[in-house]
Amino acid sequence: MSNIDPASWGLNTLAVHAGASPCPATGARITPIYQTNGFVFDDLDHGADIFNLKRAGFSYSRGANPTTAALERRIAALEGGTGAIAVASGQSALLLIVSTLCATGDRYVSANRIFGGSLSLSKRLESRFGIGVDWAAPTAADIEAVIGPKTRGIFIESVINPTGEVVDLPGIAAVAKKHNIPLVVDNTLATPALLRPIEHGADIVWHSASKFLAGSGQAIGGLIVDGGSFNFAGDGRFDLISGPWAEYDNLVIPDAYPKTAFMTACRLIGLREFGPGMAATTAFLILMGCETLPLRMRKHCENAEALAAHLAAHPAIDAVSLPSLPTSPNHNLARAVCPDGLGSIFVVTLRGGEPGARSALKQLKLFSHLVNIGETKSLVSHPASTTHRTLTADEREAFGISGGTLRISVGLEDIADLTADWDQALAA
Amino acid sequence: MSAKHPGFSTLAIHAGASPDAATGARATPIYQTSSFVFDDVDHAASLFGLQAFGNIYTRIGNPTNAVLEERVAALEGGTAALAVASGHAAEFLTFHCLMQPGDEFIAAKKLYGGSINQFNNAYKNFGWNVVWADSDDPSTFEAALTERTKAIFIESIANPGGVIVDIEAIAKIAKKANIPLIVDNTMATPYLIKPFEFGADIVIHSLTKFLGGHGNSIGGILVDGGSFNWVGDKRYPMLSAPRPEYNGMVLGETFGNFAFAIAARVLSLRDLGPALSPFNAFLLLTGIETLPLRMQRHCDNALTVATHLSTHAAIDWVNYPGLPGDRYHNLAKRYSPKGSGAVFTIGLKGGYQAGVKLVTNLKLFSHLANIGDTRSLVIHPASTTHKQLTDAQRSAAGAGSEVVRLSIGIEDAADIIADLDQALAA
Repeated sequence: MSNIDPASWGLNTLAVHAGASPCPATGARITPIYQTNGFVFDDLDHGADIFNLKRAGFSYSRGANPTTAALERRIAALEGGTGAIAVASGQSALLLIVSTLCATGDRYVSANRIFGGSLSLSKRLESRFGIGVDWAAPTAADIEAVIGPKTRGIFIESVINPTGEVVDLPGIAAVAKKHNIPLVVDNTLATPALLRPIEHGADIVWHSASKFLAGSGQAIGGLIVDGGSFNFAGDGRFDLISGPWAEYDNLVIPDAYPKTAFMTACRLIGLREFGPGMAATTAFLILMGCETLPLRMRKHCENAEALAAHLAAHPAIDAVSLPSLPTSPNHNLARAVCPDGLGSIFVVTLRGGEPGARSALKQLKLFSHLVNIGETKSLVSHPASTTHRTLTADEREAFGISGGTLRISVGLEDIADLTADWDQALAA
Repeated sequence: MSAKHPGFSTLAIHAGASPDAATGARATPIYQTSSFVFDDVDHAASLFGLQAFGNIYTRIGNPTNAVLEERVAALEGGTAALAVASGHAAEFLTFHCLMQPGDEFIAAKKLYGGSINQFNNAYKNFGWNVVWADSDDPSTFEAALTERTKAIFIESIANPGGVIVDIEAIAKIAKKANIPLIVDNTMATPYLIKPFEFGADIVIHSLTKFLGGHGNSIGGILVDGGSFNWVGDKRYPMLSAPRPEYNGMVLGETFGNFAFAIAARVLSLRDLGPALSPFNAFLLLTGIETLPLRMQRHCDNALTVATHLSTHAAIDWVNYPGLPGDRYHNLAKRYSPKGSGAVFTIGLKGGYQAGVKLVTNLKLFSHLANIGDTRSLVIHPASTTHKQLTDAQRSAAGAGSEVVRLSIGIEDAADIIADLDQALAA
């Protein structure tokens, strides 16, 4: 397999093959689950060299593991990045990226319309570690307006949770380039099957792999992809990446790893020191999920657009956020940035307000009432009482969330069964 | 579920599974436990005596495996199923329920090689005698019937691919003789063909192939169609006679239209032991969720690749029923209109050496003995699985020197074709 050029492979082929090859020791075709803590060294020098990063290899699964490494190579290939790190959750991914780019006293710009967990983590990092966040609406102009001398990163979601709206990724990337600040994109809702932010100018991409990448709601995990596009060398703003590491014989990461400087620093501080690694068994499950990602995403999008159109025409529904609807103010931008589909997560607002939402939740049978998204199964949740419970009323309004709002994650069932479930739930 | 008759895609995701009653967990838990605690002595006794349904010990049944069983039963349109350690085990347990020493069954000649070996060799030790018939000529099944015939065994799409079997014609012969028809539906999966709709009584699968789909777990399953009446039929004492293991219970009477699945569990699996690990059941269940998407892509890719190869200068012939003009094309349109599966054989003009060269030069294809993986797979039977045979034996087995078997994956068809082209040109 190494003899043909993966650079020429299509996305479906990459989803199945990238980063994995038959096990050289046994011939096993499927990536083994290396559910081991330690890896035996050949001798003392071998161990010392691995610890000093003088040679590649595995020592201890907190820092790196061959099963998670296969997943890291696969997501890097799918996103078009130079390398990746697998971590225990999407939350861990965000924590590791922020703490690699920013020291206490530094700041970063974050879109104000993001996943509630990201919002909470940003607030926590500010109050607990003194890493400041400047909120902005996810547009190029609003983001540029809050960039300051201490800004060390711009953080956005490509497709916004929970509305499914798409941001102006090229426009925001141009602002990031102009100010020479890394652009960090949460690509969880789009996945590389629909959108590859690095192609649009992102420098770092991350995922909650718990969603569409794993795909069946069967694993919690996070992934960080290095675009290899930002030049950290000699940049004193990012001393963790550009400065010498005393612990590794004054290693200067961008010199040793010019294409994966961010990832290398992130792995050293994030995995070796903070420690939220991904279990090998989890990596295996997510690798399996990736194999069907392009097939699943196409069907997720088809089902979501059909259900959104059905609900938009329903008398009990006041509003549907998915920008596939021609009436959405985000429609043209969404189609331009994300032509292959918009994912399958959106919100609907019921005319009956919170009582209406409560009744629908109770009546829905095929849609499971839970707070994950991006599964083969269709899911529904009530943001105002769960994921967005701690926000102020104003913040909720900015998200377009009221007591009558339900978040929908459309699965892969037959569309006729999905529309029938909503029809009976709204009629009840 | 809201729909009275959920669609196939809905069943593939939901059938048999519901949120965990104890914790709310939405994904089916992996009950990696050997045993289950009894409420009290009476509860234990009723479970052992088959007076109550419940979990005892994972060799006999497990809640994770039970979800898999219900899901495959729903997809096939059967009444119940039993998941076991492999496709081979599913066959073995099926025949264990039906056969006594000295009995016979009729099997199609074109079968998975592993089944042929099991029938020809392993079953001899039990006095179970296979009689071979030609699935291209259903009358050969009728001609092979004797008083000792206890079952007919066929594959819906026959391994190594390219053969569609006229299930309905053979089912009529089985009905007339009042013996169960067993269909191995591994190559088709219920997405393409549901053998019960054509008169099958029992369906079996190697779950290892398309149902699991990722080449990551060995597993098998047997599905009870609920269509065969065992009651009072002395030819099948496992189902019709009082069982000493269970206080004289007659399983066929007690369990009605799912008695066969029960017998396979409480007589065969319990005593012979090839249980499926719950972890494998979980992986297989997860695979089944994407079965409709994968199978359609497998079939679409296979047709594209077969069409391309059918005009390739290095290729002598392509056996793929999806191709117009193929001898099984009309049967494919009738039985498997969504596609003809993903496994087929090609004949190379360059013979044996060309076969060796092809598998050596292919890069995207993996050279291995499985089929039904997301990855494209290839094998040259003459130099591997059939190497010990003479040329004449190989040809008779459909594994002539020039024959290469392909299992087309879900990659981009353009990448699969590019790999074949470079390997054939090398």
